[in-house]
Amino acid sequence: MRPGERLRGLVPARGLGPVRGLRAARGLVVAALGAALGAVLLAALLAGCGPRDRPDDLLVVYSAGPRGLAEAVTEAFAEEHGVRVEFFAATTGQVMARLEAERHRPRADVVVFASRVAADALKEAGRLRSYPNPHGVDRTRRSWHDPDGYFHATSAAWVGMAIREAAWDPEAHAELEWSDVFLGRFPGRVTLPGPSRSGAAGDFIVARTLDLGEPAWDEYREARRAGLDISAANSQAIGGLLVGAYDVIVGAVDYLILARIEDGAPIRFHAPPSGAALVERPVAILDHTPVPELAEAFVDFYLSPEMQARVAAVHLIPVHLDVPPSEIRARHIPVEPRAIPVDPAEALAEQTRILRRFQLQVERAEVIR
Amino acid sequence: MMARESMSGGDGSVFLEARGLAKQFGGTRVLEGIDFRLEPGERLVLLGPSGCGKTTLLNVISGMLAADGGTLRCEGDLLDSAEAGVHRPMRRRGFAMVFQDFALWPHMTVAGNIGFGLEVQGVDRTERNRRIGEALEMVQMSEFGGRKPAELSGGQKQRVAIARALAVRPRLLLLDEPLSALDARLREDLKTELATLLDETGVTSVYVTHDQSEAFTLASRIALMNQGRIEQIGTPRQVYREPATAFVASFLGVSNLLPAPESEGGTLVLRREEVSIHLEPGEANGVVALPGVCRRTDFLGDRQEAWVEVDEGLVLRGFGPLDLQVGQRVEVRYDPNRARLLSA
Amino acid sequence: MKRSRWPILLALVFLGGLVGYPLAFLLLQSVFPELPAGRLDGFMDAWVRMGETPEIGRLIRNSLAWAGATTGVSWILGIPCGWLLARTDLPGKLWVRLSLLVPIMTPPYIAALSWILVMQAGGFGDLLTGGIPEPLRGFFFSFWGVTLVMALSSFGYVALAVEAALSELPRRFEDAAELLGSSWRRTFVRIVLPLLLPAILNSGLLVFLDALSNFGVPAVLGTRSNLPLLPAEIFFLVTSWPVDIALATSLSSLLCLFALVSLYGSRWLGHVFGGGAVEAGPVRVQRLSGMARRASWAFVGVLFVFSSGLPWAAMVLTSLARSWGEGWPALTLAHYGEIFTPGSRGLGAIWTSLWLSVTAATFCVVVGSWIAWVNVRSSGWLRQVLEGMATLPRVIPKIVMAVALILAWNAPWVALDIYNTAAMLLLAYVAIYITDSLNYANATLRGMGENLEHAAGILGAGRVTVYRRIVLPRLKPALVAAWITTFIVCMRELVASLMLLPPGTDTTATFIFNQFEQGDLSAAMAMATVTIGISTLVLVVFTLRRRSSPGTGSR
Repeated sequence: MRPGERLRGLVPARGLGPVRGLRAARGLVVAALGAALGAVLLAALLAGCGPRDRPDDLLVVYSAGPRGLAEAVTEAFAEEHGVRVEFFAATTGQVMARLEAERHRPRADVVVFASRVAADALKEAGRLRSYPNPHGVDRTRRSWHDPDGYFHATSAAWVGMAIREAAWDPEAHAELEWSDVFLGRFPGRVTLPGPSRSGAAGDFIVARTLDLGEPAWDEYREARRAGLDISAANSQAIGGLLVGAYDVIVGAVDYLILARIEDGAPIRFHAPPSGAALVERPVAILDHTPVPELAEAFVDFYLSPEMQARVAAVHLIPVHLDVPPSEIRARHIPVEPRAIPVDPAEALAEQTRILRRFQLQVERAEVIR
Repeated sequence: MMARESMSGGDGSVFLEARGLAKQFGGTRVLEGIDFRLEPGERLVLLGPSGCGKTTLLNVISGMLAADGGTLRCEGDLLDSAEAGVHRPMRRRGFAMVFQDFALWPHMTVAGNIGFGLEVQGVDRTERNRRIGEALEMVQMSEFGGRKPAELSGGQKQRVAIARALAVRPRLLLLDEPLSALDARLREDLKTELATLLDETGVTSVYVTHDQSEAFTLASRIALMNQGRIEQIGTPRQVYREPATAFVASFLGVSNLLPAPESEGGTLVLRREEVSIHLEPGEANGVVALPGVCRRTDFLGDRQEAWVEVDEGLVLRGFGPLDLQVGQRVEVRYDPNRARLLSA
Repeated sequence: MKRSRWPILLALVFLGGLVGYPLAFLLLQSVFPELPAGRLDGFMDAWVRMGETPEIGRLIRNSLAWAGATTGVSWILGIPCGWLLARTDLPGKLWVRLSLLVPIMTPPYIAALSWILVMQAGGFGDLLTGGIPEPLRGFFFSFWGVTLVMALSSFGYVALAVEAALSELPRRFEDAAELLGSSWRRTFVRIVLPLLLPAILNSGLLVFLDALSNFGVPAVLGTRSNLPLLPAEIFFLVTSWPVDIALATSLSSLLCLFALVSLYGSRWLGHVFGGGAVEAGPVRVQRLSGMARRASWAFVGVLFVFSSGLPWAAMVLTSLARSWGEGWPALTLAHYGEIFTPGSRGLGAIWTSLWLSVTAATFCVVVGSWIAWVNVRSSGWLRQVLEGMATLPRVIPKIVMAVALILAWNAPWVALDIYNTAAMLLLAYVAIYITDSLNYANATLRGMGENLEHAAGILGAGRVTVYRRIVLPRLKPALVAAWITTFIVCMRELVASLMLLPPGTDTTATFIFNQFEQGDLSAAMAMATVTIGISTLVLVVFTLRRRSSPGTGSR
């Protein structure tokens, strides 16, 4: 025997390749099993626990902006009723998202939106509680409320355009239309607050799309090609307008613009002759609330003349007929613009589809320039 | 100190020639005045303790390091000459090397490892496969061509490393302690096998080791190195029988180093196996016999090694009978002609 | 010696509840959208809708292409850096390494914001150059611009991983090839590159997963650069109107699938083409000529300017600018003043971030090291389950983890009321980042051997004593490193914070993001500067203390 042959017997070959690959695959399977095991264990641990108790002097309010107003109202309410108010201020989109996330563990009692369509959607989903006759509802604009009493407008605002005075030509622009701006009158100088964040902009897009039908989409795409920027929220759009990054905001909500004008910003609000979108700001009670009386009291409180005066003070249109709009509003928007006609039933049926399509095809789309 | 033996083993043609090679790292001289000549087919073993410079010398020969002084030629080609500013890069020397840690490329199969050098040489695929097969056959690893190095044992890895080096039919084969990473039993087997293999291929080689039994088995000549110099170069018999220096004597085998008589000076070297220890005094016919006391024994199986104090403080090592015991009075005998005198 | 099983079971329950339960729930709900209501209708509904929406297909392709491109660019930038560090005598390597760490320390969304400040019309770049050419601006606000920003903030991982691998790859492998006559290029391509493959693939995987699941950069730059990406879409689906949680869960599951496929894909590639573990040895160091040296420094320098210098300059300048207009702005500290005003949202955000990060890091380190110990010192199939579950959070995109946590902790059967509290975020941080602590501890424990513990066990020490007196002290350096890492990543965590924070609360990251969305870039950048400052301070303090304490000075 040659020495090498002897040697081979002595030294066996070790671990082979495929075994290691198998082990990796098994690790994955085993991890999945482990995850399921963990889930079962935890579920078993926590099973049988129902909804939690909550003190009955606590009201949870989710509110779309303006933050200052919402804070003032909730604080005043807490003080007057001797209760605690937990309060979450965000955009309409964020409030809706939170409600959706908490669908199976509801928390909020009252919500305030900057969009009627959002409230309609919740009503349709059966998640609102009807409150047919709030205190003093007769002295408010009844047409702004839900006819079935599921939500009540606290105020409203117009969605139109905001334009820098520097870019405003009183003669050429007096009749300035949506289409003019969308189709490239101010190329690269136009922004729109993102409808997925700003409820007002969302309502405007829904209204305009329903009004125009399919051609509206060509306009939006054309606008994007002409450099329409989608801002994250109203304040980013307004910030851009103030520093001069943009000349025009389409879908600008009037009270924010009026507030800036009050501060002396050289901008103006413009409602196109074909119509602006009227956006009501409804308050609604969620149907599972453990404190319905407190929630109803909050709605009454919001509609009271004192709170309506605060609404007017931030340049929103008060819903109360006895409360006059602010002086700035009276001066800059002396006559109510024509409203884009909207059929609420159609808006409700179509809004999700429209907004989703807007996100995918306009807001977050890749546009070939 | 100069190397005592002839520069070349015989009068044949010179294959590899080093003259005055030197190398330093920082301020430390690692190699100094290295001279040797190698004939084709010779197997030179660089032997020495760790840190003696043997690996550095191998690296200089391989071209991994450039010499600071002296010249190195192979078949007349100048490979290294610091004075002439010549340093041929290792990839153009046509040498191959077997590394201590095998250095098999772990991402290639055994066949891939062996084929790489052939691929570099531009050997076409069919010829390459034939030679890979040949090389695997040579080290009896034919069935292992498709394995990856990680799937081999240490001994198998070393076989592949040897096959890889031989497959390219190098001008000169360099081996850097190729067996030291293996365990003792395997080392013994592979040593003999390697010697046979090198004989069969007839390749000229330089082999670095610190193990004298490896050196004796594999070398046609041994260069014994110490502190960056070659102490002695010669056949295994020469360096063992006729150590040129005390270092050589003590490094190879076990020797008794005794002070030489005043008149001659220097040191007397007496190999352990030349010293026999007896319980009874015997005839002294031309043999030196000294009385002494056994101070320590070491059982070796077939005999015993013993340390005998023959004079105040002077202890000789030798072999004695199995019934020898510590404290016994004994007689130490050796042939004075076998003692070798090294001048101071 | 037979070990009791309860420690590993406890670890399993913990990780199962933290990570396994939410992810399992997410997967289930993507298939049965009405699951939390206890109904099984709408089976596969979201998946069908996903298939029916062509825009989503493009979104997915975009995301994969973008993450792939980011990985490619990171390799191109990172591999040479790693080679320069490991294999050349380039002077000033400490500075090079620092210049690689700085972009890693800078959160990608801050880098993206800063780059917008540099590149936008009338921005920092225009100020410096007197007008950036429009084509360049167009290029920046495009696929490749966004790719470059992301790659610049992640190539450091590649560089450091390649450096580590190259400086352990023994020169023998290259010597052996070169002796056989192989040219430098052939040696690199055939020997060095395949052996580097595990490091390249692993760091590439890290970059790929980071990019695939990154929310900040696409959210900040993506919309502006016309590059819609998957994580931003999931975010919007969950956080804005119209909400579509079912679709979000199925997209999240898809993202998970991509992550797992790339994980196992890269492992498989590494197995097939790589050489497995290599024993470290002395390496070959290339001497650079003066020319090559200057070129290398120029390369590293340009990378530093683009990855850190310019963005940081823009960031700091913006945080100090009174207003942007024509020419250089007037400087003011007012934005910092606003942040540090007692009772302001900014200060609140800093405090929230600090206590959350400190708590999360401490918790991760304590629990993570214990789990790692349990894992290393046990065997069998339970250990494999534990290991699999422990690696999940590193692979699962953070946004998916956040969605999963929202769903899991809002399920009607959950007894603990932690959604809507900061504890939710704490839970998310621990779930997402515990893997880092586990890995740090694991690496040390594996190298430690069990004999030390047996030695203590023989002397009668109990399990707890062994852990406290033997294991923990030896782990300390690794745990300190893990703590700092976790602290820093928690301080900058954006997407989970945005999605999980209770109303009215901010962390520094959400503060920055919200200020950006509100258009107040100066406040955003002031906070960004503060955040990076705090992270750097923590890093420096710990590094100095480690340097000064003897015996722990290893890398």
